[in-house]
Amino acid sequence: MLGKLFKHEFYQMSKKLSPVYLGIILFTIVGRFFSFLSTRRIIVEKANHTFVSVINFLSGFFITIYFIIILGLLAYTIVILVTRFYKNYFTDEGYLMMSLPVKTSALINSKLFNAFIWSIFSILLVVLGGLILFSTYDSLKTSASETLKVLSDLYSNSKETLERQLGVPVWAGILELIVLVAISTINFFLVFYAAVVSAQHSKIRSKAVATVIYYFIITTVFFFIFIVQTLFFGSLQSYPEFLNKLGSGNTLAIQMTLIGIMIEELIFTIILYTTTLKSMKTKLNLP
Amino acid sequence: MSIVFECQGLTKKYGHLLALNAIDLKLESGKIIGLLGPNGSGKTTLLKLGAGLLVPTEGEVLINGLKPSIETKAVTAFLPERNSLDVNMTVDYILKFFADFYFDFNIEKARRLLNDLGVNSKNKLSQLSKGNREKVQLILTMSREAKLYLLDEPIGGVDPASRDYILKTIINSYNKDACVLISTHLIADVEDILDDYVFIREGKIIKKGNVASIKSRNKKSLDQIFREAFTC
Repeated sequence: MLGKLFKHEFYQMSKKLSPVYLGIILFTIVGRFFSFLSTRRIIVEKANHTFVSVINFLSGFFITIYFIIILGLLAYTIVILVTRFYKNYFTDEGYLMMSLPVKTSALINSKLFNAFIWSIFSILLVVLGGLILFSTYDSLKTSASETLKVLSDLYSNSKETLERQLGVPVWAGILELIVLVAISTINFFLVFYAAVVSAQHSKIRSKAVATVIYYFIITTVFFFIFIVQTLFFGSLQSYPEFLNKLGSGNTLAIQMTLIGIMIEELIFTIILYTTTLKSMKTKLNLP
Repeated sequence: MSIVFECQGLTKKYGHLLALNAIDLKLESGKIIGLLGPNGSGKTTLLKLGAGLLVPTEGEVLINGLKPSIETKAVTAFLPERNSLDVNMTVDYILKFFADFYFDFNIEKARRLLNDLGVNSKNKLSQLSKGNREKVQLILTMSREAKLYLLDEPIGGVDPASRDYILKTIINSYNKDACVLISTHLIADVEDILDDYVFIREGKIIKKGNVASIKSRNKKSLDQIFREAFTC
């Protein structure tokens, strides 16, 4: 049933986000066209001054607006993902969704997996938009090969340093980073879900206001714990003798900080998920 | 006949408000039962508990002998008073959605009923009138071969002609081995289709029994008996 929930949620999200994605790609193609015109020698030299000014203005305009659109897209994606969670489960639509013969955890998981995937899609779109807007085929070919060369040089030159600093092979360091980003993304949406669920039991009349208040309470608590934890592990670097007794000095401090953050994020995720699940199972109170 | 819906000391509180007060009730399969009471008497709360949308404060509700769970939701067709469908979906999409989640959903039957109603399944729900949206929701519910139908105010807020359509659809569509529990305060409109009745007031069952028996015993319609029982 999780697969079916995921499928329907993915379809509904694609209906909302696909037109926006398509719009952004078209926007970047048009922007690229003006940028292309503004660099053509034949236009710069032979066209009249006003025309060149307009082309230059439009080229700059599209690039500036693109950055605003990127921020807008990320905000829009988050808003859609969070409001769909609220609308599907806590408004009149909840009568249908909550009476489906599926586990409550499947209801949450389908939203979470979708949130994760659409976040990745949005980031990929930003990258794709940037490539369309800022690169030509030649520069893409050159920059791709140059980038690969730079990365390969960087890897071979700094492999040992990196491994010494991280205390683990580079691939393990990258894996740690990917896991951390994945947990953080899930965590990011779970904070919203927990805030939405908690707001339903609040005495505050406006559920939107209550959600915002709960969101700030949860993020403030987590941020405070995060700061204390980071300071603690960071301060260990001031005691190299102590760390040397445990292992290999600063390397250990970096690994402890990384794994510490990962464990902390994981604990937050479990707390937020359990709170959301328990609340939806036992305290559901549709209007 | 078997017991499909059972409440034992069922109590539900919303904060300090007592919505249901230690209700004991057993409903058999093969019957249409009217859950009758004025506004705020606890009818919707009882149905929501049966549909697994609320958790009892005390006591328990059992569907086919089981507490509300995935298994009971799979055999319970719940029609809420409100429109629970996303109005941006097409009727076709909603049919597929129901077919995906309910193994007992008869999509052909639903299409036939929608066709009779003159609803184009390519249309979005938002393109239908409010009355037709309610009818689509009823058709979806009644196209299931469920063991228990919980219908919350199916004729509340619709015109008299639509009431006839709705009642006809319920009578012609429900699984004859199932139990149909209809909550309403419009007694006169439903009494002809009811086998049994349950009068509920302030969260307590004050009277229940067979409709034909009480009507012949009192030589009055169920509506008149209801009005006498609930006179303020």
